[in-house]
Amino acid sequence: MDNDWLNIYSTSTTYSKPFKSTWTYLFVEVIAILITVFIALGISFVCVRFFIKKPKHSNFFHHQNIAKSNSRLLHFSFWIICIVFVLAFLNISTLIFYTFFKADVLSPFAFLDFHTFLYLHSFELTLASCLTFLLLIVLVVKYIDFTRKKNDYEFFKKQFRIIEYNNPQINTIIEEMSIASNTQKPLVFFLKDNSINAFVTILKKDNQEQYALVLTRGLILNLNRDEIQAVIAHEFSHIVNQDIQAGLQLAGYAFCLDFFSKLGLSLLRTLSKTRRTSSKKNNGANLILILGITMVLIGYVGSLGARLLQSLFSKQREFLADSSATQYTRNPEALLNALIKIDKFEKNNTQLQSHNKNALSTYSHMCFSSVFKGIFSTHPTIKQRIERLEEILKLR
Amino acid sequence: MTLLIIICIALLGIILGIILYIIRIYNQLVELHNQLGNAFSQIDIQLKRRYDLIPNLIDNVKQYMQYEQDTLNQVIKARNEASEALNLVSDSLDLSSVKKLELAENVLSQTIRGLNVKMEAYPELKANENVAQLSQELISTENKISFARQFYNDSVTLFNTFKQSFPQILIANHFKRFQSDAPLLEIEDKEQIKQNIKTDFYS
Repeated sequence: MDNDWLNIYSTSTTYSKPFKSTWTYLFVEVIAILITVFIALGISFVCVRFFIKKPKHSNFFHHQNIAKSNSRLLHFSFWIICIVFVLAFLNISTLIFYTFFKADVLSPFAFLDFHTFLYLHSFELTLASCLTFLLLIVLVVKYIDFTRKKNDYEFFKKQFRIIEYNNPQINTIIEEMSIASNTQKPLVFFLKDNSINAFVTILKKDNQEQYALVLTRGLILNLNRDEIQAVIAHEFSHIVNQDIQAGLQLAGYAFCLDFFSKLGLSLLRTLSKTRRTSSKKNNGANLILILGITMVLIGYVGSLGARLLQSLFSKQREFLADSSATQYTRNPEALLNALIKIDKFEKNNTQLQSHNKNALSTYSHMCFSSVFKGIFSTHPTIKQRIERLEEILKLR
Repeated sequence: MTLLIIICIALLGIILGIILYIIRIYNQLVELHNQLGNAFSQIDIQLKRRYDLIPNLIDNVKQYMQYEQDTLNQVIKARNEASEALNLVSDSLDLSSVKKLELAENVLSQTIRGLNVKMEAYPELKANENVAQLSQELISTENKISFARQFYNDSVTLFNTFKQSFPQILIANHFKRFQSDAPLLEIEDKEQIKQNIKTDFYS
């Protein structure tokens, strides 16, 4: 077992089979990959547990800095997890070809190993690495597709039945906040939804990327001017801190890992179909079975970890947005009151179904109050946010 | 021999790292300094808007307030002085010119407040749509000025803290434009501003 660690991390090639049968090798290899993945997850979570800091005094600039450094740490551990998963992925896809073509060389990293390329001139290896590249390209394309799709202006308006909004009072608030945060004025939209919420996103209109701010009907009906200003300031700080881009990026990675497990599932599904038609046993089918199962496992574990990290990251960004909002308005009471009102509103109207949950859940990362509750929630609980704001209020 | 080469390479690496670090700090200083200028130009835009609105308002008010020529002249004078002070600051953003602008702005705010009090005595002014719109716009511009000033002061704090901390201070002291601290801008009483913001939009 000790050697398998080396097998995954070193590029040194063992030109002979380390095990007697290919099957034992495969089995050990798969287990080693799984162990690596779990250890990577474990290490990153331990890091996150011990290194996430809490603000110590009540200056909002201090709060901002703490949230910024925390989210930087989370982003970094997200990257590490992604790299580990890409390595695991490479490993598996090269494994497939080794076993299929019954190549004598058993190095899972031959793909990265120039020696193998240069000295063996192996057709199978070249094919294997080409196909691995192809799969990676598919993942990248999927990722880019995911990040681009939602950006179209017309598509956005049609999909969520959102209308442009023009109200002089809201406009003055937005002008003031764009001056206070030194950003361009975004497009403003109105969402027919009774819950109190707001979000920002990037839209592509006339080949120009523009920020769009969406306010719900509940927000405009239930909050007063100061509170609406606080909510809008919170959204502006999402623009200033570039949370939309970061959120999309993380969602893209998580989506790719999800896609990976789906690939494994479809592999298993095709396998079960062929099994039904021909009951003849063959090694290839067994191989695909193992590969399918590991792919599904890696995909699920990966996307679970990714989503957990994503939610931790997003929570830190919310704290950052809250403290930046107090910087722009210099009025933490208004933000506090808005949060209290939302809390009360949600408790009183548990029956009230929002008609337009689709739009809010798509952009849940950029919303003002959380759309989902639970462990994967994108926002800290209202209680935690109120606690931090009260700490900021101590200063005054 | 190999040891020597390794040590040389390590030393070179360390020196290169230090140089890159210095370059980074310098670039950050430039970025924050430019952000300062940008933040001031935001105030500049709003102040100029205000200086444009005042003569307009006076023109509209003149025919009703013939007996208040003194007040009107005072406002115009204060406005011209503030405008000049602003031009001075736009040329060079240093402590003395900023202080001058602060003073001129304080005088202007006071005279405008005086004008507003006098205007209360003329009910026909309130009926005039032009005047109502102009004074509304003046108030909203004042709000914007206060937000722009807030952002400017935040950028100043950011720049000064960055510049004064170690090791940035070693680098900042070598360049003339980063040597002096950027001046904070305090045009009005803080209490006054808070009141302005709270009362304006419900009226």
